[in-house]
Amino acid sequence: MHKWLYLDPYAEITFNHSRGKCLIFNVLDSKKYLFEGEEYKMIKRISENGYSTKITNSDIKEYKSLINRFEDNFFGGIYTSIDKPLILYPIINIQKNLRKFKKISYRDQGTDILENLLELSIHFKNNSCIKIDKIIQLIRDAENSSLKKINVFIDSYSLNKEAVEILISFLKTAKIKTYIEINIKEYYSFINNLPDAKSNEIFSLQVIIADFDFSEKIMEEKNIRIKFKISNEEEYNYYFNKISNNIEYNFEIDYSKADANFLSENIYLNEEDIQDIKLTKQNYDANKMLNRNLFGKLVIKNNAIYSCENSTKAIASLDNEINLKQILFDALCKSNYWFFTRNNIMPCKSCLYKNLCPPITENELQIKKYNLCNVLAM
Amino acid sequence: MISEEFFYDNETKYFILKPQNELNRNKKEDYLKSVGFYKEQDKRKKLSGRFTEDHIKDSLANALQVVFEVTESCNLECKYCGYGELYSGKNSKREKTNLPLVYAINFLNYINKFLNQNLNRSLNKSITISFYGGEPLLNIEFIKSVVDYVNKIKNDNFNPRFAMTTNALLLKKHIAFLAENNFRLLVSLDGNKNNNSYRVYPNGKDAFNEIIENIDFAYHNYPDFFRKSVDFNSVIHNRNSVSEAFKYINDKYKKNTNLSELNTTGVNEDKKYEFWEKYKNINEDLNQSEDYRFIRDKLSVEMPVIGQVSKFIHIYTNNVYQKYIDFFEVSSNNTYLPTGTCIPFSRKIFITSKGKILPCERISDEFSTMGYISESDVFIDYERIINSMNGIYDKLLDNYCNHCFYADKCMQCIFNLDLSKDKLVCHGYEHESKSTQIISNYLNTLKKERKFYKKILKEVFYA
Ligand code: SF4
Ligand code: SF4
Repeated sequence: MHKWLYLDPYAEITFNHSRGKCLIFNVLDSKKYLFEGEEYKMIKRISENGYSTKITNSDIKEYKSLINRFEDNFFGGIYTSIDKPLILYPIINIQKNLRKFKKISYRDQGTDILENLLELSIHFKNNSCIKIDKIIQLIRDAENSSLKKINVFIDSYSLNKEAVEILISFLKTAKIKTYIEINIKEYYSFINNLPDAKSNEIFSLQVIIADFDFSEKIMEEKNIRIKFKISNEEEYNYYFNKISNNIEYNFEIDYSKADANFLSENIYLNEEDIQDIKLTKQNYDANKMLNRNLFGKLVIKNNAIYSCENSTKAIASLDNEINLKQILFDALCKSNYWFFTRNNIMPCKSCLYKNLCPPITENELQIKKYNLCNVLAM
Repeated sequence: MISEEFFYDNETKYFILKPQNELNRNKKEDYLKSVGFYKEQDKRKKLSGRFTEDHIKDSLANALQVVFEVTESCNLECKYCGYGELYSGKNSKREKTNLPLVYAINFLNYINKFLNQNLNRSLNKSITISFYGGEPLLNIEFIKSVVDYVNKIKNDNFNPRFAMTTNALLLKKHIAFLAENNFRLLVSLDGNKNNNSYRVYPNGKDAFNEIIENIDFAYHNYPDFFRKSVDFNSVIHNRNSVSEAFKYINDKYKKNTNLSELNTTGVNEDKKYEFWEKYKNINEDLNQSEDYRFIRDKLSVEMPVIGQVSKFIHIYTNNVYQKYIDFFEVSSNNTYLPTGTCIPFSRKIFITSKGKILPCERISDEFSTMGYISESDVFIDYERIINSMNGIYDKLLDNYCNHCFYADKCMQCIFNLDLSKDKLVCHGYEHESKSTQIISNYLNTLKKERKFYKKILKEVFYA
């Protein structure tokens, strides 16, 4: 008989080999455990040997506290047997991992590409000649995709009046949940022309208030939500004091304007926040494989299509013939944003929390800073 | 569901080693329950999926493979042929019919329309056009015409590849055409002269020398094509062994061979003795083989037993996601279509030489004919398919599936059941109470082949 030290398959390990540390995340209860030194080395050995390794009686004495930690917290222990115990340890396999299919001759990279479209964002900016017919064609072509959500951002209604109206009346029949955002300046003329945007339940309407541009009248509106864009304490207090009870609202920090202190105080993750993170196995695996914030999203602005809001490299232009499948293919197989995980970027790459932290957001991409935290556990 | 050695939870799909000390074991079980293990599942709800017309249309628009039964004629009369004397039933009656070209053209036009609908979710995905027989090369004019026609109508959504199963007797004559059109060939060969001796001419004469002469010609004169596009298939029986077939083909042509067993369904009552004399189980044969390690290393994840282990890992553990968006969806709410029958046409569309449309070549046409082709038309009988399949599910559900261990991981195809009987019996059925034994069997095999665990998860992608 031999003694084997093993980990359970729900013990997910993140290593930082250069610092000789590792983190075990128990997917069943979301508890986290840090190890270093000799204990790190033993966990590395277990991990390299398929989640169980033979140990001697003197190992058992030496690693007593490690073993107790495994057993007391139910994510591993000692097993006595002649054969090495079988642990079906975690290795993620995605059957339709199209990005990998380039190297597999018998699989086609474009297989079921349409099922990867989840969300579409359309911007009406300060240019008036948006190719609305192409956008409508794109939504029609998405009929058999997984598209569940459309966002319409109206920066300038007056310049895009006709196009916005065509789109809204088309979307009424398309039956895809649509979130519309419009600034307070143009809200009234918009809603006078298109009252459906408020009354039809396929739409959800959000009015943006920024730069102290506030009037009490908006508080009387029904069926809308208000988004206050703030970048400092003063703005926050100003709006907060004006909010009436019967309106739905939220605050959104404008990352590009906010100063470092304000960001740090309000959005940076602290150690406690990380300890509080709860993830299912599905979420944890997702964090390793792709970016849940960005995956499946196409963005249309200035008559071009992008694989995320902050990408500067268009994957298609509405000036040319468009092919939704080709666009999705390019977003998925040629652009990297949809798969932009914390493991792709320093300093998160070497942080032990990289698989736990929420996925990189558009805001982080915008300010090109990825560790909005006071932690960085290395 | 609990195995002797492991805690196993159907929902999270974790296998967790049971601590050996009773106190620790109980504590661990309490812990697992506290984090949500062993919640009751509503099986009936899970199995409430219904099969609809949309399913069939979706399969047609996303078709992977069309198989034409070019001809029923064959230049061999192999002793174990599924259409030969060992088998009874409709399939065994062969009339040497050739598939009329106009039928094939009608069907190609029909499928081309589907592939070009919005329902087709893929970009440039290929569709395999396969030729099957009898011996397809006996009707080469048909094949050439189909290839011509396909090349004429192909488009962004109809991206063809050609494939063929052949006994190789006419390979020398036609290889130039096959190579030029990038065919993938599956050549039937059971090993050396003695191993291959069930593969005979209608007059009983051994065909081995001519077969080898033809394969050798391809091997020497079309080396690139041979290396890239020729595969072998060997039927294992009492005149060969996995090891012999494998070594012969590996030594001579530097290729592995696919292994298959004699089909055990539809055996003629009068020929049962003869059949079982010929029959050999691949896994048993391989286990006894001295060359087991050699073959295993060569075949790797293509070994039959690894195939079973691989299916087990894919279905019973939580490491496998089908697609990227599975990371976004809550799978516990999913409902399944009962049984393991594939959605018709989702893998294959089989066109018989008489113009019947079937979901597969491996099942009898008596209950699975789903449409017809005529001189002027293609007709798929959606309503009949739906009613008949849902009807079979209903018959099975109460008597079997609702209490079956395999309910949400079934691999039993309903068309392999004896559908002519009033009272339907499922051979695959295992009562839930047998779970311990079933799981242990899989785990024991996995233990023996554990070095494949990582490889399977890293390398196996089912089409
Ligand atoms: S460094 Fe990156 S991964 Fe680590 S805690 Fe900060 S944000 Fe998260
Ligand atoms: S094996 Fe048979 S009884 Fe069991 S789920 Fe499958 S079809 Fe139903």
